[in-house]
This record gives sequence, C-alpha cells and structure tokens, in this order.
Amino acid sequence: MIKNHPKFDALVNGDPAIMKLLYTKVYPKVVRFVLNNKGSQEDAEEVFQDALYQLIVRAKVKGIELKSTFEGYCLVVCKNLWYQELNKRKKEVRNEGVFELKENNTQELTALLYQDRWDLFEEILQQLTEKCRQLLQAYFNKVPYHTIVKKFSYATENAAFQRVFKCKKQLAQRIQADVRYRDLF
Amino acid sequence: MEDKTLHKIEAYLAGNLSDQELEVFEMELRESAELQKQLTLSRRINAHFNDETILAEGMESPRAKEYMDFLESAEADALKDQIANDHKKFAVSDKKKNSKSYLLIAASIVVLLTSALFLLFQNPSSEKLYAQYYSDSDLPSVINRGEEVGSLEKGVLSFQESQFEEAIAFLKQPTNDEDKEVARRLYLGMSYVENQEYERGIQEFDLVVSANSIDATRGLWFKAITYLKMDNKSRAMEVLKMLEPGNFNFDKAQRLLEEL
Repeated sequence: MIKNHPKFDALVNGDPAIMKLLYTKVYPKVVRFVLNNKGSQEDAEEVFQDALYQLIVRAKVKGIELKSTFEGYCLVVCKNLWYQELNKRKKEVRNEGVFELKENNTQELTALLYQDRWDLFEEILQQLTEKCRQLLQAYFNKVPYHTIVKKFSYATENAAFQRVFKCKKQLAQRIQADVRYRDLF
Repeated sequence: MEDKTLHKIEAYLAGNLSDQELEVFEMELRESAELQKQLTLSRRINAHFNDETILAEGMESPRAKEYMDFLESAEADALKDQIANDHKKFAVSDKKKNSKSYLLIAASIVVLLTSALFLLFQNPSSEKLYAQYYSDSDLPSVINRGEEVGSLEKGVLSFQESQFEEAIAFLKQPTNDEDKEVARRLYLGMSYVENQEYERGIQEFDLVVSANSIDATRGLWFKAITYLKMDNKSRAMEVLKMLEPGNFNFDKAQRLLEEL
C-alpha cells in the first residue's frame, strides 16, 4: 500500500489549500533561486511545474514520506531540477549546440529516479554521526588530508584517512542494505 | 568485503594504484562479481556527493518500470494539463498579490525615506555608514556560465537569496582551490555578519588577510565594514588605516575615514 505524508495526499487530490501554500511559500523562492542562477522567469515557471508533476507522480507511484518540512522538501526538488537543467545546458554548450534530443518521458523518468536516489543517499548520510558527516563532507569536497588532520585534530594523516575510510564504509553498507538501493539501480 | 579490498577500490577510484597494482586489480575485477558490485557502489557514492549527476543510471530498474507505466498513461497527460491550469490560476493571483505588496512596500519606503532624511541631519550613525558603504558587489564574482555547481556556488546563491544559514552550511565546506578559498571565506564571513555572528565573520576576514592572495586586502575592507555594523567606529578606523594605495577600495576607505 502506498504511504504518503498527508500533505502529499492533499497535493495528489488537488487540494486548493495546498496549491495556495505552495504558490505562496515555495514558488517565490524558486523564482528568486532560478533568476539568481542564470535562469529566467520562464525557466522558473517551468521548473516549478515540473517539480509539482514530479512530486505528484512519485506520491502516486511509490509514496513520499517526509524527513524535513513539506515546503523545504518541495524547494529541494525544485533546486535539484534546476541543477540538472544547468548541467544539461552546460553539456549542450560543450557539444557546441549539438542537442541530444530525448523523449519527454525519458527526461521525466531520469529526473524522477535522480530525486529518489538523492533522497536515499542524503537520508542515509543523516543517519551517521555528526563527526562522520563532517568528515565525509570534507573528503567529498576534496579537502587535502593535511587540512583534515588540522581541522578535526587527528594525530596523523593516516589516522584521518582511516577515520574517513570507516565512515565511508558505514555509509556504503547502509546504502547497500537499504531496500530502495536495489529498487533504484 | 575485507578492508584491504575496499582500500584498493578507493585507491583505484582516486587513480592511486601503480601500473602493476592496477593490472592485478583489473584482473580481479574481471573475475569477481562482488568486487564489481562494490566498485559500482563506491563510484555512485562519490558521484552523488561530488555533485556529479549520473543521469542515465537505473533506467531498467524495477522503480523505473513502475514510473514508466504511469508516464505513458492518459492520467499523466491529464495531470500535466491540470498543473498548467493551476499554474495560470495560482501564479497569476500571486502576481496580483505582489502588486498590492509593491504598493505597500512603496508607501513604507516613503515613510522610511522621510525618517532617514530626518536622521541625516542628526549624527551620522555607524549603521547609516554601513548601509552607505557596504555593497555586495564588492564581493568577488564566483558563478561562471558552464562551470559545475559546487558547494561554493550553492553557498553564493543562498547568500544572494538572503538564506544566510543555508549559505553558511554550504560555504563552510572548503574548496580545493586557493583562489576560490578567498571568495568562499569572504562570502562565509558576510553570511555570518548578516546572521549577526560578527566575531565569526571577522575570523574569516582575518584568514583572508593572512592568505597569500592578491585579494587579501579585500578582507581588510570587509573587516572594517563589520566593525561599522557592530557600531565600533574606532576599530573600523584602525582597520581602514591599514589599507594602502592600490589596495582594495583604498579611495572609498579614505572617504569613509573622513566621515568617521
């Protein structure tokens, strides 16, 4: 049985109060975000509608349970869609205008899976200790080990490396053990 | 899987294996399905947290099939139409509401300007000088078309949206590029200042000043501006006096010193 947070049920059912909430609280932030990040008003409108579509499809097909606020989560979905669009445009620029045309459904599917994977990876990261999260963030941001040693007060680079390794191992084990991982890849 | 093998996977992904080790590892990889599985997982984790989008993955997964069934249905088409109609309805009413808000904002500005003019002929306050001299255009430009959007860029975007706590979270993450580090610390410092965490802001500006960069004196300017915001004119003056001809905002600093 598909289980949704009540606000997603309301969204699926086209509840005008939820639409009003989204257009009052989230939409203006999305417009500002897109305009500040190389996009236009039209881009923002398109991203917002794509996000609504994606949220409703995901709520209908597999259900969405929230780990953050409803408005915050909707904003994250919009931002992720815009980052994907920016990366797509960047690739188009690199290919000197040779556009890779894909069917709409394929693009939508790609975005749906991307957000599901994003939810999984971020949720599992949050299950680790604060120290592990900070260490992994530094590691993934390619902070050199000598800086990690200083920042986290380790005795040697090897000690820092071992700690990062253990945190990443925990992260990998938890992701692999999650039923969603097998479902999404 | 043994730690030794996991270490090898990490070294392989980082390109740290010698030619001989690489040859052995690739042979093991061809023979072990488990090793292939672990390598793929590790690669996916790195890609996700390094903000690299692997978009084509999972297109044949069980979830993908469920989604595709829905996307190809008539219900999906009807849903798109519904969303487009709702958009016309709610986004338009939002614009109307905004126009009313603009009138209110305009009226408030008139009242504020009147008050400001009154205050202008009183003692020039630090707050007034801060408003006059602080400009976010003094911060370096970071976002370039065609560049990957990393934590620095995300932090700058949050800063521009006045989402300072979010900006701080992004900007706390160091970059691996000395030139970008100066920009990161400046934006992080100003995010702290906007969040009224002045001491932390000053710490970041001090790190900019001590950095071996042509932009180091920009840190002095923002440090002085922060003291103004803290209503500490004497410290602001001390810092401004450290700027020399050719340094960042030297002329502006001289004008500010005169006003102080």
